[in-house]
Amino acid sequence: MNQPDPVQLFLKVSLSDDATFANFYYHSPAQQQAVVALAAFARRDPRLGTNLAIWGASGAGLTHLLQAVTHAAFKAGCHVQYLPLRDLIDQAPERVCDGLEQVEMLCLDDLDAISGQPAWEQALFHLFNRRRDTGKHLIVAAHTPIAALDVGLADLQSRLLGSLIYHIDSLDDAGKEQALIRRANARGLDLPGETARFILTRAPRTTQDLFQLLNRLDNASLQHQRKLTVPFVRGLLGEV
Amino acid sequence: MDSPRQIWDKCCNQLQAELSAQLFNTWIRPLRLDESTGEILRLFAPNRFVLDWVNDKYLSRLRDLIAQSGQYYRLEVVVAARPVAVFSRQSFAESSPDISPTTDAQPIDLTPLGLRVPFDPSVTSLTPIESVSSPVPEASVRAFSGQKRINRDDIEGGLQHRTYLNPSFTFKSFVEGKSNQLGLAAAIQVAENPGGSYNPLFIYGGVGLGKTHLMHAVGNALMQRKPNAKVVYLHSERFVADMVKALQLNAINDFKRYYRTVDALLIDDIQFFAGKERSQEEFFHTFNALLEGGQQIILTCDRYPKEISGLEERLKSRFGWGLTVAVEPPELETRVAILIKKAEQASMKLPHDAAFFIGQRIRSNVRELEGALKRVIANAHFTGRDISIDLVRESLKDLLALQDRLVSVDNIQRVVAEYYKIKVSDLHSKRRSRSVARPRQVAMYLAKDLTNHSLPEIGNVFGGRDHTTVLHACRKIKELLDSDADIREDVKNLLRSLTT
Repeated sequence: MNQPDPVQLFLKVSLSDDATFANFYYHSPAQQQAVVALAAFARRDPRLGTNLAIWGASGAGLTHLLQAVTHAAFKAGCHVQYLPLRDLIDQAPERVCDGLEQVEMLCLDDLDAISGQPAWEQALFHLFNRRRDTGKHLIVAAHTPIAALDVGLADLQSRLLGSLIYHIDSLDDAGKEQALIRRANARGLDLPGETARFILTRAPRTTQDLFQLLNRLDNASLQHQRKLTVPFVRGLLGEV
Repeated sequence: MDSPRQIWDKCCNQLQAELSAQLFNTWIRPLRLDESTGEILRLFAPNRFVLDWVNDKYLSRLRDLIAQSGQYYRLEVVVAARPVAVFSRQSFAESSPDISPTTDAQPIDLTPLGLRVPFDPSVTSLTPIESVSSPVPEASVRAFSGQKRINRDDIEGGLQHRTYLNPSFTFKSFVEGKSNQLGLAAAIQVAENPGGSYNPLFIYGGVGLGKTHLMHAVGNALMQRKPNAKVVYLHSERFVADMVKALQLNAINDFKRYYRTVDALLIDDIQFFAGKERSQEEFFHTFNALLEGGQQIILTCDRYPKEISGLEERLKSRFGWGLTVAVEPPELETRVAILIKKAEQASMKLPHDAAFFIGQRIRSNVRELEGALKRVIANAHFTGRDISIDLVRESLKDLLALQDRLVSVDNIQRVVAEYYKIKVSDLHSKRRSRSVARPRQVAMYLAKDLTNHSLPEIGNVFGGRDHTTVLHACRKIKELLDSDADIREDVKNLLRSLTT
C-alpha cells in the first residue's frame, strides 16, 4: 500500500488568517488613529459621516483594511460589499454601479484604476449622489493621495475630497519584522527575531509578499515538523 | 430540519473557507437571504451584474452545498428590487412580476419594476429622506409578493410625489458671504414667491460651493410653509434614468404626468443632460408645462447656461428666462464662518486661530473645507484633545504637505506662465511690456498669498527684484481684483489650478 502524500496530512491543520483590524500591524500613533477611525466607521459611528477615503503606497495594507471594514461591518449587521475596481475595469461601469445605493457599506478598492476614465468617473459620481440621498456608507482606497488622483470629473474629485481622508503609511523594516512575528504568532508559529530579520533581507519586501511567504513557511514547517530556524528557512528559500 | 437561514449560514461558512476573502466579500457577502420564504432558499443580489456573476461562477457550488445539507430547498438568486416604483396603480397591476414558483435557480429579475424613486407609490406621505427610506428586505419582499402599501387618499391620480429634500440644508444653516449673497437673496425670494418672476431660478458655479444647499433650502422653506406641497428634488441622472425606464415600460404618459404635477421641480447638475437628446426633449416639454402652470423650477449647473455644450439652444435660452445667479468660491472670512458654524453643528469648539489656519490653507470649495474639518474633528474625538492649530497641523499633515509641493514659487511661476502663454524666463526677465508685467505681478501676488516666503525672497526668485516691487505688485493686483473682472477671473482660475 502506498504511503499517503505527506502534503495531504498538513493542509487541514494549517490556519488561514482573515484580514481584520486585530491583525493589522501599525507602527505609529497616527496609524493607530486611522485604524481606530476605520473600526468606528465600520460600526457606522455617526461622528464620522458617511464617506471615508484611505490612501497609501502599494503594500501599505489598504486592501487588508477594506477587508477588515467589510468583516466588521458585516458582524455589526450591515449589508456589505467589497469591489476591487482594478479587476472590474473592463466591465460596463453603469452595470457594476447600478443599484449599489442599496448596499449599506460599500468598499471600493483601487480607485486609481478608474481615475481618468470618463465613463467610470461619471458612474461613480452618480453612485456617490444616490448613496448620499439614501445616507449609505462608502469607503474608497487609492494608492495616490486623494487630492492628487488624476480625476477628470471635478464633481467626483470634490466629493472624494469632502470625505474623511486617512493616509496609511507603509511599514519600515522594523515594523515589517514586528508585523511578521505577530502574524506568525497569530497562526501559532514561533518565528524568532533572527529568522524574521533573515527573511526580510532575502525575501520580497512588500508586506503582502511577506505574508504569502509566511503561509509557505507555515506549511513547510508543518510538513517537515521543523521550527522556523534560519538554516531551515534558508533551505526553503533555496539558499543552501 | 434546518431553516433556510441555517442552511445559508452553513453555505457561507463553507464558501468563506474555500474562497479568498476578496472573492467572498465581492460576490457572496452581498447576497442576502429572503427571510420570508419557508420552502425556497431565495437570495437577493444587489444588481444584475452580481446576479450574472454568481450564476456563472458560484451557482453550481451553492446548489451542491445545499444538497449536502440533506434537505431539499429550491435555490433562487434574484435581483433585489429597489423601492417599488410605478407610474400609476393601473400600470403597476399590468406589469406586476410573475410571482409563481419558478424552476430551480432561474433568476427572476425584478428590475423592470425597479424604477428608483421618485415614482414610489408605497410612500404615503411627503417626508424628508431620513424618514422615508425603507430597508431593502422589506421593499424586496413587498416587490416580490406583489403587495402594495398605498394610501389611496394620499395619492392623486395614482401618483405619489417624493421630495428627497435633505432637511439639514436650510437657509438657517447656510453661511452668507460676498461670494454667495446674490444666490442666497434670489433663493429666499423664490421661497417667498414661488412661480413668480424668478422662474426658473438657475444657480451656477464651481463644485462644492453650496448650489445644492441653496436649492434644498428653497424646497424646505416651501414645504415648511405648505407641508403638502409637491416639491421634488432630484439629480439630473435620475430624471434621465426614470425616463428611460418609462419608455421601456411604455409608461411615458405617467412619467409626464408625474413631473408636470409638481409644485416645484428642483433638478441638480443639469449639465449631465448634455448629449442626451431624448431626455432634453422630454425635459423641454416638462419645463414649458411647469412654466405655463406657474410651478417653480430651480436648476443648478456647473456653468453659465450658454456655456453648456451638448445642450439644445432652445433649452439654453429658456434657462435664462427667469433669474440666473452665480455662486463663487467663498472668501476667507466666509470660509472661517463656515468652519465655525460646521464645528458648532458637530458640538465642537473651533478656536478662531485654528479656523483661520484651515480657511487660509483650504481655499478651493466648501465641500473640501468640510472634509478637512471632519478630519480635525475625528482626530479630536479619538485623541480626546481640544482643537488647536497644532492638532489641525497634525490632522491635515498629508494634505498640507501635498499643497506645499503644489504651491512652491517655482510651480506658481510655471502655472502662471502656462496660463498666460508666456515663458517662465519672461517672468524673471527685465521686460516691462504689459503682456509680461501683468502676469509677473499676478505671480508675485499668488506667491505672497499662497506661500510663506518673505517679500525679499519672492523678489529674489523673480529675477532678483527688490521687495518693494513685490509689495507694489501685490497692492496693484489686490486693487484690480475689485475693479477688473478679467483679472478676477484669471486669479480665480489660477488659484483653482494651484490649490486643488
